[in-house]
Amino acid sequence: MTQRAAKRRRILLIGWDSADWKTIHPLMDQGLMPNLQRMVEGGTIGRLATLVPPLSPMLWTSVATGKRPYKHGIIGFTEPTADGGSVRPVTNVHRRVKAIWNMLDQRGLRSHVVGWWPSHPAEPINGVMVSNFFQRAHQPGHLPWPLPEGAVHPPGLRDEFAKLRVHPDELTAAHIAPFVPDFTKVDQTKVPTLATLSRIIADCAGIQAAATFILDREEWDFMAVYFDGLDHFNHGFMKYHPPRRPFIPESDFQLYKGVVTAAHRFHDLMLGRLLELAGEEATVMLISDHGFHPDRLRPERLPREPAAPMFEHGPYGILCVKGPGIRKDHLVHGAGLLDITPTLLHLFGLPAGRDMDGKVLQDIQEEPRPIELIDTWEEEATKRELQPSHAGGLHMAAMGPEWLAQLVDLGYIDDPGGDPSQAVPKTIRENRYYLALAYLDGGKIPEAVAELEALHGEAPGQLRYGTSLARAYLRTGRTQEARRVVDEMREADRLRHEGGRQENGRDGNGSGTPYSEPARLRLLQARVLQADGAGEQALAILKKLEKDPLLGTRLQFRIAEVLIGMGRWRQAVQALERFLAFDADSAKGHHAMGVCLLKTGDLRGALQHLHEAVGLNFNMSMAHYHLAETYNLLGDYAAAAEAYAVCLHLSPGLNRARQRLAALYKEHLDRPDEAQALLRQVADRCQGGPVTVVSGLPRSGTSVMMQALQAGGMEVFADGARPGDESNPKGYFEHKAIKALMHDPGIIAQAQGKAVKVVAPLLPYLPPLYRYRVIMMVRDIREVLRSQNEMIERGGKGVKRAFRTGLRDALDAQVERTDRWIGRNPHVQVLKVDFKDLMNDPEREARRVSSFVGGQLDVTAMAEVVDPQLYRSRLDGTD
Amino acid sequence: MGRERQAKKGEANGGMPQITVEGKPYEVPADGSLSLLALGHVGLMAWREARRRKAGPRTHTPRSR
Repeated sequence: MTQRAAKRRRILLIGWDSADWKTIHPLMDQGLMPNLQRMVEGGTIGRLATLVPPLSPMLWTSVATGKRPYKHGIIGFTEPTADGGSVRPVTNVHRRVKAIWNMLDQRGLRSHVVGWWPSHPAEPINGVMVSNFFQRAHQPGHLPWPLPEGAVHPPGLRDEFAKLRVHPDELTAAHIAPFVPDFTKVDQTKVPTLATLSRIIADCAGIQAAATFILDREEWDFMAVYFDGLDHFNHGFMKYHPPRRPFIPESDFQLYKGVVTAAHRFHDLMLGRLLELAGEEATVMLISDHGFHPDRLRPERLPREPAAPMFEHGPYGILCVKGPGIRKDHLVHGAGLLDITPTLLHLFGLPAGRDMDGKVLQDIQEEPRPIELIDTWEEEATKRELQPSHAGGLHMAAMGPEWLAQLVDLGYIDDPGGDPSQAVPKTIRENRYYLALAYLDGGKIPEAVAELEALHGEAPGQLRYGTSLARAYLRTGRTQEARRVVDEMREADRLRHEGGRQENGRDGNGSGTPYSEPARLRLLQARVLQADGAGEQALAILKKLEKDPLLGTRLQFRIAEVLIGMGRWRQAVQALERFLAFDADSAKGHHAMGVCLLKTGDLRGALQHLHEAVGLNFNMSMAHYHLAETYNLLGDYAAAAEAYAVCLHLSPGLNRARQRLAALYKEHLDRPDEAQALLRQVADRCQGGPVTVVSGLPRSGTSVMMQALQAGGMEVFADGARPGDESNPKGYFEHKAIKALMHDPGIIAQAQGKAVKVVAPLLPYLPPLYRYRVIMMVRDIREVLRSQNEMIERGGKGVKRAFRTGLRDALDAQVERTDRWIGRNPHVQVLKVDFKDLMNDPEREARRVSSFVGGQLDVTAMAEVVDPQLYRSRLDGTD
Repeated sequence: MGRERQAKKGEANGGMPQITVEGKPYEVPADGSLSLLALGHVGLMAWREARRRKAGPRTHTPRSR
């Protein structure tokens, strides 16, 4: 080791695509991965939460940049060529932000990168870059195997690196037998398994040769090496990994049961060599981008859609880091892919970017240092620019169709077919779908909805698009729109069946085969019913689907969700217990369990599960929210504030969390200035509106005010479903959907620019996304009570009752709560209108109201509709 | 798979790095092994050299032109 290297930290980042602790731990226990075992014992390990969609080029770019796909720009397996005439495997040309090696380059550090996905063409960094187009052979070994243009930087090393590749045809029985001992029994004319194995082994060997070559002869501060081998081994052979699953033939199981184990042992051997070359003083970080279900969680069958193999991916990759200053024999919680680059920068003593979506994993350090941040790395002048121009020449023809064929064979993309002109729009549309999923994962719902609406409109037959759109609508409370999309899809699917067209691989032969609605649509229908408040109907659908052997225990979580929506907490707990017995590592399962226990008063139990949830997946903002609520109830206000703050950091748009945190600062933590600042933020973030809300206690004059506003020229949000009667001859001016405001706050979107009646108890459920002008009708409580009683009598519900003290107290308390709510919400303006004043001087009150809502109303018309004859239930007995 | 092999830089073996197993010189088999591939470029070159010596001048090596 040189003196220079001894003084400065060096970090080796190794990527093992799809490595999963669930597979690795048993192998380590058997002593089959000694090099990784030593890393684990001497360092820190954890799970690494993946992102959605779990597609490797997107994920590895997020690892390298610390940003989500909609920021970094890599959004698929393929991309159109520069001339738009065809498609090619994704390159780094469309990456919009800097990767860790660019940032380190700017600070004078020397980086090398081998095989990163995507990294073609190789970037002119201060170091060596070998792209992911380097190692792959697409022709038989006796044919020329030129190294693709741009695969190596600096170009002067091309010839040396070309010799480091391994062709599958070179391999011998000595390489295959450890994987398939009885390989002579494989009929290679029928199954290409040995050719597949050879290819994967050769690719790994090429990457290893390139990486060790660099480590052996180059000075380095940072090195990133990526192996895609385990992902290919897992997709191809995990089905044979013991124990044998019932649908796997015994003969195949016996042939291939050792492949996954051998693959991991091979990777461990390579790891050992890299550790040896890196040296004891280097920090080594081993990660994977997602996991791979080795067990019952892996689906038996994959749906027939592009990128279906991702359904075999698990939600957690691995993290193992060892080196100077790194905690030993330690377990870190809540780590995710987005945290890698911020953490690497921090380990190098450099700031992370505030515009990065991940955080620094301080917990891995023995002596955590304060975290430094800068706004962004993107504005720093680069010493070297990317040179993407030659990527334009990467036409499919030049690369050979084998590049894409492999992605097709793996099921990641549809066959582009012989017509490139069809392949391009398909690729673009597919990538937009992945982008929409990334938006959803990042909480950018409006952006996701915009993409999905367009996709659904362009390809209504693609259930994936409509399903995702409906789910996005439901996330924002747009239940009616979700219902519409689901109904459209159900009708279209039924018509397709009847019309005899082939769709999604099912024969719609019109031969009288009974129509069976896809489970996906039925599940979606259940979601919509749940959002509509029709929980029993939703449950009925799910109970029927429970019998589906492919859905089975997975459905317990959906059932629990419906039960939660119905407030049946204890039944939900039972369903979640069954679900967590099936999948103990489900962050959403632990979150849901935490919510149920919170509601049933088991606060300690709630804490345990909510901590488990965020420990598994730190980026679940609502889990932090519920954690805060739990701490709040326990009286641990400092912990509650911390959890609300994390929630807001993850979901800046969650104004409700902002309101709660402001209340904590003001009422319990003596931080009034911060409370005020938060409340100003609440107001600032209310971009929608204004919505004019007419509110008050029932029988306080809300209907007459709505009538006056309408007469004055304001549009009202009412459905006319409740006609006028003796209690309200001129009508009620209500909208039925507002009664369900608690469940569907998104309905308010339709009331923007209009007047809507919302009774006082429902005001807190108004979503903090809009500015509200609340016209609060005020009336003497005694008159309110009298009027309510009289209305009930008119309805034939009973004899005249005396005033009920309890009810009066309840109404008084409601008035106080409403006043407090208004005081806490700066995005809510209020004008109090006394009912008596309105009756006695309607023109004056009409002027006040018109001025409050902007001064555009016809005050005379407003005053004319106020009928003092309808001022009944007066206290002075003059009615 | 599994016995620890090490590659040492040295002048022996015609300028190729010497590979040892538990400290003793290792005769690289012409058929190669996963361990040699795991060693990286040193193991790869050593294997190809062993293969070349066994088969003579017509040994298959990828044509990287």
